[in-house]
Amino acid sequence: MRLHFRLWLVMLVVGASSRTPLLADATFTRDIAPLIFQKCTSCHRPGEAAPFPLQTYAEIKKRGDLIASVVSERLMPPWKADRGDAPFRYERRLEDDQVTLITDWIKNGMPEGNPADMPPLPEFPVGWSLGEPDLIVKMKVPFVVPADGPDIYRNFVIPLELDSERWVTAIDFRPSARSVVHHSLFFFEASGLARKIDAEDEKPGFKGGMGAMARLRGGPPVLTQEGPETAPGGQGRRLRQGAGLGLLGDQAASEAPKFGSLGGWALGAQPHPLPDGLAFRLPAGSDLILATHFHPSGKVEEEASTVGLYFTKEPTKRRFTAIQLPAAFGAFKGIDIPAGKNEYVIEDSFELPVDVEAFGVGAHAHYLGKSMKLTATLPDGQTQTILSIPDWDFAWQEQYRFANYVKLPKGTRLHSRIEYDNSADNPRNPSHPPARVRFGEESTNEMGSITLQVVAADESQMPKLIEGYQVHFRQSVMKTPILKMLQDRIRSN
Amino acid sequence: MASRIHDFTVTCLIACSVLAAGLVTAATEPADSRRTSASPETTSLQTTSSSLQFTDLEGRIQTPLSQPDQKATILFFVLPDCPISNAYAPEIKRIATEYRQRKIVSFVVYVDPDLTIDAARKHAKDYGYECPVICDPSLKLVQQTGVTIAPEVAVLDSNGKRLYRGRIDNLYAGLGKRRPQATEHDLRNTLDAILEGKPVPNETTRSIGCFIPKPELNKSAP
Repeated sequence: MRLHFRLWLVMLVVGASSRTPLLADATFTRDIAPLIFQKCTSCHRPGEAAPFPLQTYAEIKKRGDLIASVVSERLMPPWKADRGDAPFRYERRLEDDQVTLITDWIKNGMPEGNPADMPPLPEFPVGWSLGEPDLIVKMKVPFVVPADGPDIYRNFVIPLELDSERWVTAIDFRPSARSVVHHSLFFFEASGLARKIDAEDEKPGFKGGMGAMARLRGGPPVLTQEGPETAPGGQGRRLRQGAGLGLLGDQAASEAPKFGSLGGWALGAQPHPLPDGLAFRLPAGSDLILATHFHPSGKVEEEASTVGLYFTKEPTKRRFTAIQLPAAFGAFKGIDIPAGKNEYVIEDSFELPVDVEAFGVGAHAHYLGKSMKLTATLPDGQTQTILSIPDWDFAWQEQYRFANYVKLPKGTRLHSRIEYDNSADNPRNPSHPPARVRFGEESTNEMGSITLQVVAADESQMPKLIEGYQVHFRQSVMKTPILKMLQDRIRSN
Repeated sequence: MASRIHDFTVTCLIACSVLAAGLVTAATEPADSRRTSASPETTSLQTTSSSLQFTDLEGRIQTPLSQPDQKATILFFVLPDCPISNAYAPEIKRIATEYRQRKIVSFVVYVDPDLTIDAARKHAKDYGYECPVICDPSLKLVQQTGVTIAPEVAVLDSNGKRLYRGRIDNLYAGLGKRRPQATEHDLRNTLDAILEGKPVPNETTRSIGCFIPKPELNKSAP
């Protein structure tokens, strides 16, 4: 058997060497440099987040083997979504033939080619890439990231001191310690609660994760654990219910919200304004919250992020909202994944009550997340893939934008499917050996949802859209095996 | 017939890797048949050039392949611009400190041919390496030990014979796939076995990280 394998291997090698490679004459200057400059160099240049520059022939040739590995495995450029029916804007993905071009060139010994073919380096923006922000704020006290240990999630509260409401069209995020900052999600909080939580300990910010978000939101209708770390008085756990029934980052409420999303930043992403004059509503007196994810880098680092906010001149004409499936990050799905189970699925469906236009989509799960898919079945029966992430990686939580509005008529059925892998074969499994995992905010618990950002095709239909989703939300609550969940929670303590 | 082809393949692989490594000493013994495959790890060059000398970043002369008064030597091969290599710095320091007391000496070896001494000093200071740090711009130790990845380690006996080559632990399951914590501590297990006089559990493992620049691409290699 082994001999057969070797024979086969010899034949393969002989066969491969006698075949003329498809792109044998590709050269660095003519074919590779333009591609690398376009797809890689915006991060792989001095002062940016990537660990080494990819700007010259020598720099690229030296790392040929690594480049061949990471582009073949689709680790780089970082882009987890498959190509669906709706094309994405700002897509960093390489086409299959571009991957082949690069790997064949490396196999052929990386010929440099004619220096005259060499394109100039693109002019990358220096400083703020969208121009001078309307408001620049900075973390006053740096946060110390240790040399090693598990990833860290920390929320930082930055007062904005705004005396009137603003509309945020873009946020540019500039970490000071680029080797450790992996991503940051932005929120506002307008009641002073975030400052209060921040003051609970000496260190800058407070412990991150969805538990902290739940506290800020006023609590989703799930049990919120308040351990000693967030409640020094030892209040234990209490049931927070009801207050958080609004939509995630709800921009449609007539009354100014107290808490909401302002988007986010992940390694590799450039800041982009929301399309078509859309903007996040930012109430007067809001604090900015940076929910930042750190990877320790091997040496101690200090992070003091700088943030630039861009406002629209006038309030947005079109409001937008979010359709999250399943609702509340799957809190009502009774997530309970047996240890070792490698294919555990939650699903949710919602029928659109009005015509909508989607402009963005994002997904969330923790370390057991395996694949994510959001489809839309139109009234004519045709099914479109809106988002498909075949190999979910918690580390790359991209906020995807569509190239054009995705038009979804009334009666379209949105369907989300999230699959988890709680086996030992999942290297990201936080438990070794695998342990039973239930819904929760900690990274050792699971949650999961896909969130579609939409506007109503006809602005006047917005209330109907929101009402329709709220009905869906309430129905989800009613279906929760809540008694079972309560019993589980009590038993696990 | 089939086995002759097999033998021929193995011979070719050995010949190719020896040539690729730029070595003409032909100090090869038959490759260990348990790990003959299409991988270039079949070089068995452990016993050559034990007199190789390096000046460490502190200016001291070091002979990492010849440490007669030590029970074993660990060579940690690192690349300063490789995030996986850097992420291991704290564990490298822990292992170096813990095993030094048990007569196993550690060297950190920078294997970037373009790294200046000043840049090496700055990196070693930033990451706090306390064991001797060597720059190996012509990749002699890489050729001697058969490592291909940074971070990767070679463990040698006091005569410079290689006992282990491979990963420190399994913290990374693949590029971009980091476990919350390592669950298999290959290097520590190897060192403990050596100290107990037992055979090492695995002579080679596969390391995850960045590729060490190839010697044949490096014109300054001897």
